[in-house]
Amino acid sequence: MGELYKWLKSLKGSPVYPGIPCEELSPELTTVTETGAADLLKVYKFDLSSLQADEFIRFFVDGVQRTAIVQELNLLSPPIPVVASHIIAGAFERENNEVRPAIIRELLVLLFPRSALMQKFGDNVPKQMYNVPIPTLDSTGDFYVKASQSQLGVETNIFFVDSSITFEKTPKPSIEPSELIAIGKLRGIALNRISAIRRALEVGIVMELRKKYPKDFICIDGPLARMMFLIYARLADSHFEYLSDLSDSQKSFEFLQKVLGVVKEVEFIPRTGLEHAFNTDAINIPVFQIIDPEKMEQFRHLICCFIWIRPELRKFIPISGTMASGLIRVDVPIPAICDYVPSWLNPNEFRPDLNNSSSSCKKLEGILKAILRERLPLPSTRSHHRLFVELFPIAEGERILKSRLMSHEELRLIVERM
Amino acid sequence: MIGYVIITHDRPAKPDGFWFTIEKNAENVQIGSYIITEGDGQRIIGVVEDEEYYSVTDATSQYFSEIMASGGPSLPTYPIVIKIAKARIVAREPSLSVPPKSRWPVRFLNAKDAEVLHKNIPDDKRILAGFLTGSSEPVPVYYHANFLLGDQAAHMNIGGKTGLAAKTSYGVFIAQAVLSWAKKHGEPTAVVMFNVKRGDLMTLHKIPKNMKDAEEKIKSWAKKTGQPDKAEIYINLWNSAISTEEIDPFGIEVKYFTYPTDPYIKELDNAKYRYRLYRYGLNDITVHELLAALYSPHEEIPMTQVNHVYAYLETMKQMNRQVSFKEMYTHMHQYASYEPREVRDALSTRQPTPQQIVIRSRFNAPLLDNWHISVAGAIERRLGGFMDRARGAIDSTSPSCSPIKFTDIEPYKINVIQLYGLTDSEKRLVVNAVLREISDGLAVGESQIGAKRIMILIDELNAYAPKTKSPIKEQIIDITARGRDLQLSMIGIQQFASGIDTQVYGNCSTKVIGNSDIAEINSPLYKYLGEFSRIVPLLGKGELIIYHPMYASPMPVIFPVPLHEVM
Repeated sequence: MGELYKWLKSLKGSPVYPGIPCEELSPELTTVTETGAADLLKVYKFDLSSLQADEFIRFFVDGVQRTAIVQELNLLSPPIPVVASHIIAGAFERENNEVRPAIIRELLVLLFPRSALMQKFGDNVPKQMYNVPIPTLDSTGDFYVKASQSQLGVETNIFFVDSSITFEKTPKPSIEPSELIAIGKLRGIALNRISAIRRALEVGIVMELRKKYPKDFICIDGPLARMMFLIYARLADSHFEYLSDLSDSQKSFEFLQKVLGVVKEVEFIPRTGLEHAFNTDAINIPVFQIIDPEKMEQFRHLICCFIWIRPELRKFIPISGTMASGLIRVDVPIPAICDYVPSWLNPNEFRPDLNNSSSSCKKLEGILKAILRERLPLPSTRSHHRLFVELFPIAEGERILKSRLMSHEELRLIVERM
Repeated sequence: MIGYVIITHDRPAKPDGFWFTIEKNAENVQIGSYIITEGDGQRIIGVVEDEEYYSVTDATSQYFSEIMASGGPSLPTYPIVIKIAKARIVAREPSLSVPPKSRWPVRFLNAKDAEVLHKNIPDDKRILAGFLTGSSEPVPVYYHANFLLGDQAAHMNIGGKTGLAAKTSYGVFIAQAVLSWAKKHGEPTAVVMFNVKRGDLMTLHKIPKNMKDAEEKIKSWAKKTGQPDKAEIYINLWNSAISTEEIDPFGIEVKYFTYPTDPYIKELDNAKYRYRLYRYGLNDITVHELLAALYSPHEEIPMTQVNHVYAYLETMKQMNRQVSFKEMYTHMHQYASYEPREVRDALSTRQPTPQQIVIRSRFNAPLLDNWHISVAGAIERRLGGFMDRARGAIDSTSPSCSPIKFTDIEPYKINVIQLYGLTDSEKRLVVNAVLREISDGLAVGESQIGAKRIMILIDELNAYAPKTKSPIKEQIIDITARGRDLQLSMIGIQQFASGIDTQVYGNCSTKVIGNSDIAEINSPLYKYLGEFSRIVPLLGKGELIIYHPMYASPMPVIFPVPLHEVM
């Protein structure tokens, strides 16, 4: 029995059966797709039988987590759940055509709403509440830096997170003392924090790769939209804070030059122009710049390409089983296809030149071919959605990461041992 | 280093076996490979009994990927092939019945590790059984002498497909191993082998002069038989067997027993090799042996005939009269010709009729209490047929001839008894007579001047111990049931164990199987093989799976080609 366990015990913590699942098994089933205004910049057309890719994506980045409620603090009624999560992010590359890990970063986090509890107790707060015996992850960021400093298993990388305070630069309470009774909210917020840490680790891995391999393309599993990607840069490493709001346009431009995002669960689609993607004479890829005022802040640094990567499957599998009719969205940062101009972040002033003879057009064509090259082999047929939209190296990488995840029982035991 | 022990909910480690990962550079792990895993002061030796390569994707996905890729660019990514293998635990130190505790590293077994495997067999009881398969260096496997030759347990059964399983070759190898052990430890032991296939065992004395000569001969034999890759393996195994295991193939003498008309006798004449001729008269065999010779193994013998033969020979014995097969035949003819009352009347009357005078002059068989003409007729016909066919090992005119005696069997030698060329009836007669002689010899203590332990090798065991109800197998059943106390052990060889008597098979404490059909292996008799049953049809020549009481699991082994075969 270690310090952490003793600390939780002093807060009237008692172990619980760790089987309460915290992650949704099929998030795409509950995600809602929105539509908005977007400019159709160009429609690329590719003949699959003569597709020759010159560009190659070297690295694929993904992250996974496993979460369980491992204890209950019997300070109040109902008791407060203590959530533990094992979070792993990794980069993968191919060696002799097989996917192999290039970088793996992982950490354990323990969460409960400490500040809200302290407020609730006021002057009667148990004094142990002040002395957290393990390092913390909070709004000061540097999650990736901390995760890189030790290796799980050698020196256990476990951190405490106060789930009642946000990770924003100026932290705000996210759980009021009066809300401590709302267990569903406590759990939901804990999961949000865990997702943020995972995203921060993924962004951190992209940072490390950009530094080590500046010429190689990196494909991240997920969107590059600001709130889904850039916002986590500060949390990953405070030196990259400029990415969070793209405040340093030059440095941001350099960073984004070789980063792509592949979105399987497309939540935002253009209101018009998407029909080109469903032409079956060849692979047609409509390319958009999002101009929807509500979304512009999120998408101003990139263009979005919608691809039906496996149109053949439509003959066998109903496409309505997927979120966006089997389409994936490839987020391509403007720096990946254009030369630097100071106004590149302002869609009202700058539009990528995608005329056939332009270098941007050719660069984007190369990127799209590189994505199409990854359409085969198919991932497992267990999920129709993934069969349509998942790139195989990402599926394989995710499996490797998941195989490293601790079980719910191990999560509970490790908390007892610490 | 191969990989690590797997302890997961889908493949939990168990006290008798565990799965382990195979890393990329260790792909030479195969069924039959021996591995060792160590941790927390424990060492566990296992043999690979199953192996799986798979990827997490599925067949449908692969199918559609291939269809969709046709004509287009090649696939940029291949699914990761996950390679795992299952080890059955063979030995461990200390002796615990628990699974490996953690994800311990797994590596190939080496000669030093093998000591764990044999820790239950004292040095002076180790008889070489062969070598572990899949090792980079020859790692010996031993039988426990007391569990192979008696008195703790005994008997071995070797099964497998003719021509592929190398059953007889293994029998010869074991004979040499047993005699080398016997010489080393001063245990007067003899091996008796029945030769049933042409000159198979009649050339055991024709071997290379020494190991250097053997190496040359093995190389040219391997080339000639289309298995050049085996030459180096067999040379290594022989070198190890001779130098480390003290097997002495060059110093083991062979003594032959054959019958006068044996076509292979010239092989021995030319070599001026020592041999002894044998022949059997009726007086040299027991009633049981006579019956076993007269009737075929799958035949149910009518009790009336059995009783008649017993009554006749018992009467002869009481009269202290010795008869030949021919005389017995004549007597049976007489019984078949006259009713008992006719004979009694003819012999007792004072005034015989002409017919009774004829009976008096013709009937000289012992007067039994009773007989039935038709029963005597049936025996007469059997005996007639037997004598017509059996002209090799049988002397039908003399009551006694030159049977093989217990004292003829010489210790520290392979004693080969030639059966090839004899009729099936003669073979049964000779085998049963020799078994009885040896059994009686060991039982009455004649062993003080000869062999104390005898190991008998019987090829085509199904002919002597068929599964069907038959009195001819009693001798064999008796040996397998009580032979171990006499230190008389038997190596039975046949294609299909399913065709031999279950008691005989069940009493064999050591079981050996070479390449066999899957249909045979599916018999419940082979349940002991476990997962290994699937690889039996894939075993090559010289590869066998042994199951010996000293080991917790069947073990795949390899043995070198017998040296007389490379000449």
